[in-house]
Amino acid sequence: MARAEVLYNRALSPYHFLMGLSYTGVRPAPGQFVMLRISSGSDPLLRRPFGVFSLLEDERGQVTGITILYRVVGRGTQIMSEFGEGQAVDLLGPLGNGFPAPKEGERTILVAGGMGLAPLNLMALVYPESKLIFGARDGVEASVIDASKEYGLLPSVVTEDGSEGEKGLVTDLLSSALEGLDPASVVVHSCGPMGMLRAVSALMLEMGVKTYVSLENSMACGLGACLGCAVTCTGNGGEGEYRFVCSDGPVFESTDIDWARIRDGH
Amino acid sequence: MAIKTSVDIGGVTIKNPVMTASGTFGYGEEFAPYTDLRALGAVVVKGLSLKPRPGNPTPRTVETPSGMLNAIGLQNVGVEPFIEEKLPYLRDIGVPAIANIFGESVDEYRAVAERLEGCKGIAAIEINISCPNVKKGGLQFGTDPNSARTVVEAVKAVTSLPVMTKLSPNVTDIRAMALAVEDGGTDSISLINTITGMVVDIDKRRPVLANGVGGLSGPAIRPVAVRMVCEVASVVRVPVIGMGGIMNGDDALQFIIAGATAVQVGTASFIDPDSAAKVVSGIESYMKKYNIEDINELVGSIKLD
Ligand SMILES: Cc1cc2nc3c(=O)[nH]c(=O)nc-3n(C[C@H](O)[C@H](O)[C@H](O)COP(=O)(O)OP(=O)(O)OC[C@H]3O[C@@H](n4cnc5c(N)ncnc54)[C@H](O)[C@@H]3O)c2cc1C
Ligand SMILES: Cc1cc2nc3c(=O)[nH]c(=O)nc-3n(C[C@H](O)[C@H](O)[C@H](O)COP(=O)(O)O)c2cc1C
Ligand code: FES
Repeated sequence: MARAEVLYNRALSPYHFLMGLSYTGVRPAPGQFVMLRISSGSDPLLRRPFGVFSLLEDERGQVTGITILYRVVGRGTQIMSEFGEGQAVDLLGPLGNGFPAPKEGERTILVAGGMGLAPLNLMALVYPESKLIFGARDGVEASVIDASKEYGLLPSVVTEDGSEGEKGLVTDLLSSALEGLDPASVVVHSCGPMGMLRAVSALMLEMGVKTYVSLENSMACGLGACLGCAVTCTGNGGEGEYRFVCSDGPVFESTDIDWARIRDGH
Repeated sequence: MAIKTSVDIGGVTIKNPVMTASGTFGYGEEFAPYTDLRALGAVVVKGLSLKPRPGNPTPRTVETPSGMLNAIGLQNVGVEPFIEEKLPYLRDIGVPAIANIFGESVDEYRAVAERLEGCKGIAAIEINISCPNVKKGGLQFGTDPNSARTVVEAVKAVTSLPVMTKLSPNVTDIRAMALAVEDGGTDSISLINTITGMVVDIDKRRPVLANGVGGLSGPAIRPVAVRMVCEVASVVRVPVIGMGGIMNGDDALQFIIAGATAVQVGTASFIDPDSAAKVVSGIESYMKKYNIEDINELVGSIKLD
């Protein structure tokens, strides 16, 4: 647990914000998340989980802060969007496993949908050889990609309504990105809405590409204690089992997930 | 001034009156990076059944005003793996573990208690009688005094460990439940478990939780819990352990003054994993402030006139 301070809280759209927080603990790995306490009182009560979008470093490369990319969806994120510079925030983390580091000679493709960009941005910064594909519903949802471009990243962008980048779905871009590549040499890392992760996983399974997905779930603790963030997995000798997004994930190999038993939208 | 914080919670003495509540602190080890486990009176572990239970579909939790609903479905590793894999950690660092147990039948409660007999490191058994309906007979242990008494008797008959019985608040008269389990031979009574509640998603017109209903915990339930502890403490002779929305030392003191010999900290550990240890120091500060040498002087010191 650490006491962080808001360094900046910048609007990227009426709903999307990039928040810089001072932080000097363990260096977060791409795909790990933090739990932020929104109020020092009891309402909102629970911490809220957010992926680490980027690291702030001093001249010697020491971590001095992290950034959080977030969308206002409810009361907690609404309150966050009103935080000003200097606001104290209680931060727990980094938590979770993160994406496996790319191996020698491996082609890494990052597939982000909407706010799923957050953990993959850090992945792209730490492993600059990886290719970043970003998809969003519309221009407003796509506004977050500007934050990645500011870091010099060159993502391929699609929107469902064509208002930004090409018109289409991330799976279209992913298919073209894979053309001419040996599927066995590629690893896909993906984060975004459940429906998108399902589609990406199905397509990659068909093409024989190893795929990791970063999942979300409602989380009360982030520590593996409440057992709230369960996700249906294959395994347990074919009988299936629950694993936990906070402590076993949030990153899972897509074939470990029992997609048939997951309802999209959760 | 030397202060005495140790309390006898019915056949076992713990060094201070603060425990963690079942289902909110894993098996203890998960919290070691964030808190000093040795600062705690005891750790009550996640509810144990005879066989592992997979638990409910998700969403399993949802936040509510100053609280949360959970419908975990008592997912747990089962009593055997608990003894083999989880218990040694707490035993080795010398923190008393209290095994919270439940069953779908009297036989299952008895079997779990039997399995725990003779296991080093367990200070007591906490019987959770507020679990799902018994399939056959339709009785609910947590809401029917006679069934509750039967479970306590069955467990007492097979264990040499002190037995704490945990009551459900989802009843009209909590005193009747408390008297029944005391009659069954329980060594102490803990309360409250969660209050049944529901949150509706108005866009989907269905409950947010996959299970429909869930158990409410957190600060929202604290006044209900304090009232129930006060009522129970006034009618039973065995020690009472209070819980429900305790976030700090002052909250814990409300329970102690209302009649609780000890307290458990639940949901607060999700927000601050160091909460229970902070409750200990909060109680100590209060004792120093009011020159109280022995915590037992405070227990039930409430003035009701
Ligand atoms: C591991 C992890 C990493 C995350 N990283 C990010 C991130 O980098 N950026 C970001 O903007 N968000 C991220 N989220 C989601 C974020 O935690 C939620 O959006 C936030 O908790 C909502 O809080 P609130 O109080 O504003 O909304 P609430 O009032 O709690 O909920 C408002 C609405 O949002 C929905 N909602 C709540 N939580 C989620 C969720 N996890 N996923 C989808 N819908 C949800 C609710 O069902 C409800 O309809 C992450 C979640 C997890 C589990
Ligand atoms: C996620 C969660 C899981 C729980 N699991 C159990 C359990 O397995 N057995 C049990 O007796 N009580 C269980 N409880 C109830 C708590 O031990 C406690 O009685 C209740 O939450 C009220 O205290 P609190 O408001 O401090 O959390 C659980 C509570 C929560 C929030
Ligand atoms: S959020 Fe509590 S176990 Fe994952």
